[in-house]
Amino acid sequence: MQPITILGVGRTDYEPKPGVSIPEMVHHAVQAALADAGLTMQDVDARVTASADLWDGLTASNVAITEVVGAVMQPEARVAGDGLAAACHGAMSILANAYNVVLVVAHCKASMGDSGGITNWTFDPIYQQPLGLDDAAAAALQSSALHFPTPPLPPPIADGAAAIILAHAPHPQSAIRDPQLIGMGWALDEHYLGDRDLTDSPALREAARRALALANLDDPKRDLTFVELSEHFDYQRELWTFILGLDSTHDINSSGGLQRGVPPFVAGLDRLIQVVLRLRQESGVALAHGCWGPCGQGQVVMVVRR
Amino acid sequence: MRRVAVIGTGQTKHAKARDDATQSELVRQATTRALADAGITIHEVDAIVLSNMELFEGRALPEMWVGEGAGGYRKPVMKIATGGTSGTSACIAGYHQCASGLFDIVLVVGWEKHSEGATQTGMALTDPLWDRNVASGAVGNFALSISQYVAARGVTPQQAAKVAVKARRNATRNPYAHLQIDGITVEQVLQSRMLADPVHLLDMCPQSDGACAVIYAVEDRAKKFCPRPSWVRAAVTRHDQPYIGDLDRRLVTMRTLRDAAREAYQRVGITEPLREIDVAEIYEPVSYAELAWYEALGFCAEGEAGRLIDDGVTEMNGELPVNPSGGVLSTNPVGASGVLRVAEAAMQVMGRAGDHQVPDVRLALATGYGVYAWSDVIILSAD
Amino acid sequence: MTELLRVPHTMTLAWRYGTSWYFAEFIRALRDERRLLGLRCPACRRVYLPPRPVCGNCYAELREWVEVKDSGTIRAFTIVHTPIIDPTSGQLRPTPYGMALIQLDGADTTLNHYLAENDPSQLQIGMRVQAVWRKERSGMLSDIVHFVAMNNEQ
Ligand SMILES: [Zn+2]
Repeated sequence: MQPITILGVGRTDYEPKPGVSIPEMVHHAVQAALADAGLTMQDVDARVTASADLWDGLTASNVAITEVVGAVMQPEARVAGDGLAAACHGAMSILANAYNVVLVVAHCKASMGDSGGITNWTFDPIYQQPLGLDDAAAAALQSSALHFPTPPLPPPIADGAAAIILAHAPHPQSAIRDPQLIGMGWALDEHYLGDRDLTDSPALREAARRALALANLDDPKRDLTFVELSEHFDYQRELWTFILGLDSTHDINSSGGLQRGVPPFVAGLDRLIQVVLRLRQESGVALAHGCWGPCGQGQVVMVVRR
Repeated sequence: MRRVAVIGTGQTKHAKARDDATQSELVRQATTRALADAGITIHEVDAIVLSNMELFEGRALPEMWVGEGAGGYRKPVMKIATGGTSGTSACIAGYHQCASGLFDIVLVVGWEKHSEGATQTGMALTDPLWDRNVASGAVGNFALSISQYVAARGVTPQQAAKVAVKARRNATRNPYAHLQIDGITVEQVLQSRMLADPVHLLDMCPQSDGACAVIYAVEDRAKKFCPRPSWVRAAVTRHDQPYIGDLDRRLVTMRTLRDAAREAYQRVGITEPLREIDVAEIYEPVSYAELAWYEALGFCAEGEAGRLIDDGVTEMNGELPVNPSGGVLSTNPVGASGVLRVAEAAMQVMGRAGDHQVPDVRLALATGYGVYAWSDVIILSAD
Repeated sequence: MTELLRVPHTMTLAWRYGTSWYFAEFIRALRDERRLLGLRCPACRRVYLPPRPVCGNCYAELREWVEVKDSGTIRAFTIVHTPIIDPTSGQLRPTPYGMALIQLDGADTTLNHYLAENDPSQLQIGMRVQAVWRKERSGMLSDIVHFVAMNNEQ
């Protein structure tokens, strides 16, 4: 694929923000990304937002942020999923020559609602939902299937927003600084937990296979300088590492990963932001990973180089 | 931009309650029919884009459960949701993904199963700190801007009722359409229950259960699989401000649709839409809106929409047939409604619209509408 | 064929929506002072009700508070005959009832609210109306019961 330049990144702090509205949170992340890229909203051709209606308590949850993402009388698509998948879609629309500069924004106020109740609604309503399954219970099943000795530990609850700006080509003045997206892939796993081998993730294998193939990397062990994974529960770090064909000798989650608390749906996009910030300091090839749904049913991988 | 065409479509029978099929089964039916129509198998599909408004059914991330119905396991699956425009936005997203060079064949499926949800969830459509404190509902909101449109343009309840009759008459020739009202008359519409002045029950769209799928292919695949592909020529999105009170005379100006149509026409080189476009499938949630969209889409001058319907210009045998399928006024599974517009427009170009086929369609228009005033415009053609 | 079934679920979820500074100030002024506050855009000068962080037309940050009157002009109206669940009571709101988009004096946007009048022949676009307030205020739009026609416009 033709490389896509990541012109700017921005985010809020991640912590519970009880008094702050979603539009204001998103506004801060967008402003930070524009400032980082040295652009104004007029330079942006289109935006891709990522959010989850049930977490926002709002149908069509991008309605609330139309103005702060600059979508009035402008194009916007909204991905219901992790922000890293939204970044993939933004890159696709650039590769299609539909737009030159795309703003990608993800947000979630995890402290607003009840995670157990909301994630229970993800399970099919006839077999699994009545069992009371939620993301935490599914994680407990997965960690026990992996013979982890301790119950899964989720990171602290956090609210926040993250934004990046993708472009067809680098700006002349920032070409040396800006990393480029050279591979991406995403995939969906099976739904029923009983159908899945919870010690594996065919969806992550497929997402990574696609991303690495586009990046022309055939040996992730050798070719990846560092990796940022979305471990929504502590045990997942080891699982995703193993599935990617890596091991504990690799440079994984040096940013701290999600362990200090990064909101769901923002998490994958934040992995990409961490990758970009570090690649501006040191050249290399890095992988950003995101996932969403029960036991990481939805998986997304991006490969970035500078 | 790589050339991309629709090579197949499929939809379910739409109905008030499809108790015989789960959401996943509805999606599977639409997908299976689209694959058969395109003459391919699921193995040839590289990526999938889904569309649905999950709060209507009390779901979170429903694609996790329903993705299976689209054949999505271990494939790239993404869900696009933007309110009423979800279906057309998903179609635009699928088009971009197919044109990106990374995928050759992309499947788009939209669905909604309104019968599985509670009406209360609709309340979550508005700002909890503002509109949610004042109950008007979707019909009331439409009625408010219709009052401005009627005052500005002088369209009559009879003219609106003619739109409602046209849609339902067309629907009787579409076996998949939800509402099937034989011999419906203008009087019947005007005598139906008043929901919110001046909107009668039969002026409004229903709530339906159903799904619809569209399959895109890049140029070489499209030519291989389809004798008459429906090429995507333009796809334009415009969103607008979030509150109903923000938009000055929304139906009168409809700036999003006007601007999206202007850009789309410019890209295709359309200067006289009424004459050049052969068929339109537009997202009309209420009879009056179709009249307002005629103006915003440039089918007529401002104030001329009533005359257009009086003269039968948009009837099946008119100069520009609008919604031969029966439109949203006859079938409305929200997450699928926009996909249906694109599918029906593509079917017309491919010559596969059966009893509601318009003869010799070369240029077709599809639109999406949602969230008070968001618009998508998509133009398809035979070359 | 086996009889088809429907599996019922009753699901309750609660959310805590943050107001940020702009809705907090709006609610405070409404609740404590019975004043309606809008925000003026520094670029297009439009006064926005409800307040928000950014003018979508200009992508400009909003900071300047402007007081908006509780009287205004009907820009659109309807009589609703379909019962809708009233969020303030959780009950179906008795029909018919009047609704309007009201441009409050001093605002450039309109407010979606109830009218006391439910006879359409008594309503017209351009009519002047005045808010009727509840005795106890909570800082929500429902602190206004409805709007009534201003008979003695000065
Ligand atoms: Zn402004």
